Amino acid sequence: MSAGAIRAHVDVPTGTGRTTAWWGMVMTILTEGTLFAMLLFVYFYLFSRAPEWPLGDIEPPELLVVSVRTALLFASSLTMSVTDRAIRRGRTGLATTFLAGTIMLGAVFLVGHVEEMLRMPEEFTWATNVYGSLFYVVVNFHGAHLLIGLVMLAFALVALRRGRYTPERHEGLKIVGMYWHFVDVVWVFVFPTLYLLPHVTAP
Amino acid sequence: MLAAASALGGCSFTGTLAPRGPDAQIAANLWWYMFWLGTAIFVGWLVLFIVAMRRRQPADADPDAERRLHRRFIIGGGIVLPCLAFATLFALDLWGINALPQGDDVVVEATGYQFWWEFAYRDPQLVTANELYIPTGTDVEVRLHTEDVIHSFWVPQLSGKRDMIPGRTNTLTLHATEPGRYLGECTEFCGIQHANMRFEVVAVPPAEYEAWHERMARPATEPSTAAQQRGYEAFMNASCAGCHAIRGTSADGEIGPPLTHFASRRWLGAGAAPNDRGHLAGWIVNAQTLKPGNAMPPMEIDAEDLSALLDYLQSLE
Amino acid sequence: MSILDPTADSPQQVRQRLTETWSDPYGTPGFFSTVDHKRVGHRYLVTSFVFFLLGGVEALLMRTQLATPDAAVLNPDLYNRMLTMHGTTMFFLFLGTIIAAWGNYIIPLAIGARDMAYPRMNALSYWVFLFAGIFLYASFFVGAIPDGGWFAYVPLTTDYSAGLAMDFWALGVVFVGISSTVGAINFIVTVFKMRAPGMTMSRLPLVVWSTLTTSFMILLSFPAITLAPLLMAFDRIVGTHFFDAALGGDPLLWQHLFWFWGHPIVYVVFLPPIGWLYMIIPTFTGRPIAGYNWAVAATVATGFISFGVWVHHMFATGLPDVTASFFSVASLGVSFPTAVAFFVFTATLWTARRIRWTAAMLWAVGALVSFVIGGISGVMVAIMPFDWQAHDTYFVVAHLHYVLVAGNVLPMFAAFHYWLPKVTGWMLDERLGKTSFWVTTIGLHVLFFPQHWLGLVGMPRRVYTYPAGLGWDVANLASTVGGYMFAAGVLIAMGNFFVSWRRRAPAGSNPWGAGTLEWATTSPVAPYNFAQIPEVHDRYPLWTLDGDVVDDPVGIAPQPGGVVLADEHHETLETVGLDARLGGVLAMPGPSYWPFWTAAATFLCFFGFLIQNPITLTLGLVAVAATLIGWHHGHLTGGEH
Repeated sequence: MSAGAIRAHVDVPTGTGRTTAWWGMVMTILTEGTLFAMLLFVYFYLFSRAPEWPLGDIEPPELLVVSVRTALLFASSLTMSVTDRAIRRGRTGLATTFLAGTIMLGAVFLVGHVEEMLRMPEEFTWATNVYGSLFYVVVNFHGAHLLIGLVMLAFALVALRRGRYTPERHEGLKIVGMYWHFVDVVWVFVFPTLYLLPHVTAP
Repeated sequence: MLAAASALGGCSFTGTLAPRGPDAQIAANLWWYMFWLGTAIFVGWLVLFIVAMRRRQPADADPDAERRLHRRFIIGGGIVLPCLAFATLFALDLWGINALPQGDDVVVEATGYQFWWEFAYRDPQLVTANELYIPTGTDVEVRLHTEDVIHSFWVPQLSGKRDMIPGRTNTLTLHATEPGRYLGECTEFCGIQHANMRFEVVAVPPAEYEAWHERMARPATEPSTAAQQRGYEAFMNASCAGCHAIRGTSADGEIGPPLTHFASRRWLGAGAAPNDRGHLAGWIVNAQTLKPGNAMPPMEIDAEDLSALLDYLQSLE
Repeated sequence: MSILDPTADSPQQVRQRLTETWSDPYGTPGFFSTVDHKRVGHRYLVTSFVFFLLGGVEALLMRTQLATPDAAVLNPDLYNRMLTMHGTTMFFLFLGTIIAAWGNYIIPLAIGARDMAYPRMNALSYWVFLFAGIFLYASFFVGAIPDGGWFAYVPLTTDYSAGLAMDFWALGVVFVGISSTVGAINFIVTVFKMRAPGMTMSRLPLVVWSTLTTSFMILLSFPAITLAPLLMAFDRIVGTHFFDAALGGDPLLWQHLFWFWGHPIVYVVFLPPIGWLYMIIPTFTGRPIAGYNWAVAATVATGFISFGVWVHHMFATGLPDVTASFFSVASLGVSFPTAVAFFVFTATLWTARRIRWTAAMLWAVGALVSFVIGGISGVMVAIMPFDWQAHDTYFVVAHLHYVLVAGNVLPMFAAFHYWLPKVTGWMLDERLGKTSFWVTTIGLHVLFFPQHWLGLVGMPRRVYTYPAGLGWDVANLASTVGGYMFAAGVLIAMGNFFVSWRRRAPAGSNPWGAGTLEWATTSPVAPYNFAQIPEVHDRYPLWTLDGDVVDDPVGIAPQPGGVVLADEHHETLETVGLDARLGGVLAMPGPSYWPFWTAAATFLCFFGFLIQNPITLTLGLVAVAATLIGWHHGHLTGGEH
């Protein structure tokens, strides 16, 4: 601080109210959530016009693996919550473990997603009919968001290991966590729509 | 196209403002009601606004009185006035929807193509193009389909418009109260020749309509002169028959309009040019000059064959 | 945060120090790395205006073709391309961005902030807008100008459109949408967090309310215009079937998605301009706006209702009458808040002591009067039996142009005449300003009024020609003459700009004697905006109770003992709560190249998608990721994410 117009510091109130980063993430989630809501609107709109569901001779999707993946994804939300609590109490080691665990769970989910993307086209593709188009586009939209979330989590992990988060200052971790929870919540809607609904409606 | 224009001028077309059917009449009545209401509101507000701009508020005006005045302005103009206007408008809206003709005494299947119209009748079955005959005083249900993109079917003097959408069938009831020729238009942007996708509704008295229907249901006229015969052969041997159908012959193409009673129509190319010998010749040789972008390719045809072809086509009454 | 010491620091010293801290690097590095909301605002203004002129030229070409029946100025193919690009340019590259332009420039100043909440994201939204505009207009240079209409109804634009033309359109539209979305988030957080202490929500200038409302509308409606063209691009490029009726898709789905965005966007592009008028008219009547709370309620209500009316664009698609009736009522409902807004203006003028007829005021009043005509015709087309006649005719062309030109373009000129002295530091010529107003506005009415009649007598929209003899000739010719008159008015306004630029009549900090905070600093605005961040106690902080104007606001002359922020970083205050309590000091990010590179990398992605080259696309995605990582390196805990 060079000599200049600075003379006396006054007390700066901190920690009151939400930060700009928090608001930014809330607004991002608002618009991304709208995007997914519209995507599901598209799904139900086309579903409501279809004579049968799934269209054509497509079998409803296999449920076992995806159910396990779903469980893992929801578990990752829990581990993320633990991470958040741990850092607030200053238990950096615990936070690191659980954040790494969150990333692991997310990564396993994503590996399962990739495996599914490699396996599914033997049955039907996005070009088969609109059922196929919907399945691939919705599930990959979610997958892409999950990948972004994982990258953000990875950066948070690096920052955590470098000691950048303290009980007083862990905003970055918090908003990354918000995004991760958002991606999980989207799956709460995507999973029943894409995987369960065709079983209910299949002839 | 230039000549087409003058021919169109033959009828006194003033669109929705000259209704010839109950549907269009409802819309026209609504329009005039809304026009006067809108004018009254606009002029009334404008007068108030001009007075507001010209008057001077005294500098010592009571602020509380001003605030009350403001509230009176805003509630009066922003809430009460629209309420009054819209109560009547919405009632008229619902009344208008319910008063539209709904009958199906005659049913026509109308199909939009880039850039022409096909009309199919039943009992007896027949298919024609770009001219829609209907009996006067009758509810005619038009079922709207499309073969390609979205089109919209509109006869301003008879009724509101309805879209032709892939995968769906819409219906519209036409009802003409007077005989006449009414311009029909495509109103959904459908590609390069959206502008030249017109048709005519020909409303005739029921007896005349029956006669027309009978005549149209018959197969095409056989060629009766040598020239017509040569034209007939030219039609079948050139690529014409691949795209156009003439009932009673082997020509059964489905890409272009059916030509069974082609000579009875007033227009070429869905309103692009009048159906006379000169334009027809031009159309056959290169339809792209009259209607750039339409599906009909230019023809290599020698002058004699062309003349014979014209003879034949013009015999298809 | 620091207290100004009256013995050691003169206001000059404070300003000197702030200037050193907040100035961009000189020259080219500064050009590419600036994050200053004012420079970003300048660029938005210039770029949007250039697109306004391009869209205008396209419109004039079409009007020239339509001046006479059976004309051959443009062939049908070229006409349809101009038609598409006129609508696309005006909606995506002008109407929606001119509001971001003035928003960028005015909002931080009007709320007493030193910058937007996310300065770098702000720079990003500009660069993305620019690159998206370049992307769309690149279609001209490869001979693939979009031709499916700006509304791009499927299947004309999917199965029946070959070549790259509609790929340019679909991807370009998604591209611009990124800019709008990023910008909207930025505006919201700026308004929530960056207001000067004491600027409660009920002291917020109305232009800020309207921008806040539209930003939320953008967040909730733009996903539709991201999703729909993306699905279109998938249908076109990847082979999906979302809009293909033969394999379970539905063409009407496109229309639902498009208008779910398309109707709110109309309000998005005219609410901020109405907000400009809310700023301009009180200034020239010398008194606060009447019924502030009503104006706020009307603005927010318009935002809500706008999401319930999209189906009135689809009355002719054969929806069930009950569904359609609901949307008919909702559409009537929109006119309540609009009527409230108009009577707010009327009441303000009614109790004015003195009206100053400056050019800005003329433009503002001209906009109001013209807009009413568009409002009234809008009510008419909400009535279904009439809409079935008027839909897709020139009646609707007239209606929408009245709404958009009187609701956005005329207010834009009012804003130019009002705020340009703040932006540039010199005054625009009043006489030329008034001349351009009369020429433009009379041109507007000659141009669009006859089109109502054309629609009623049966002229459909989007036709490249029409035959003589239908009674359409005179009105079309008049309309074209009006078009040229309108263009002449715009040229005079531009001439005014250049003449005044040469003359440089100094503006001073508050040439109009206005009451809001953007006038509480120098003209042109110093890089730091306010020397001392003001404390707000009133809706019009620069007006005293006696109706005088504060001479030496703290934005220019910080008061001894007042709080100034003059550290080495870009520092500003953040506030919390609806009542804008002091929250703390924010260290804002300084200049950065990353926003530019991120936008460039995004361009590469879209280019790769366009040419269907997976390698380029992957390269682009990697580049976007790399630039974002570079951007956020070391910032994960900072003010931006």
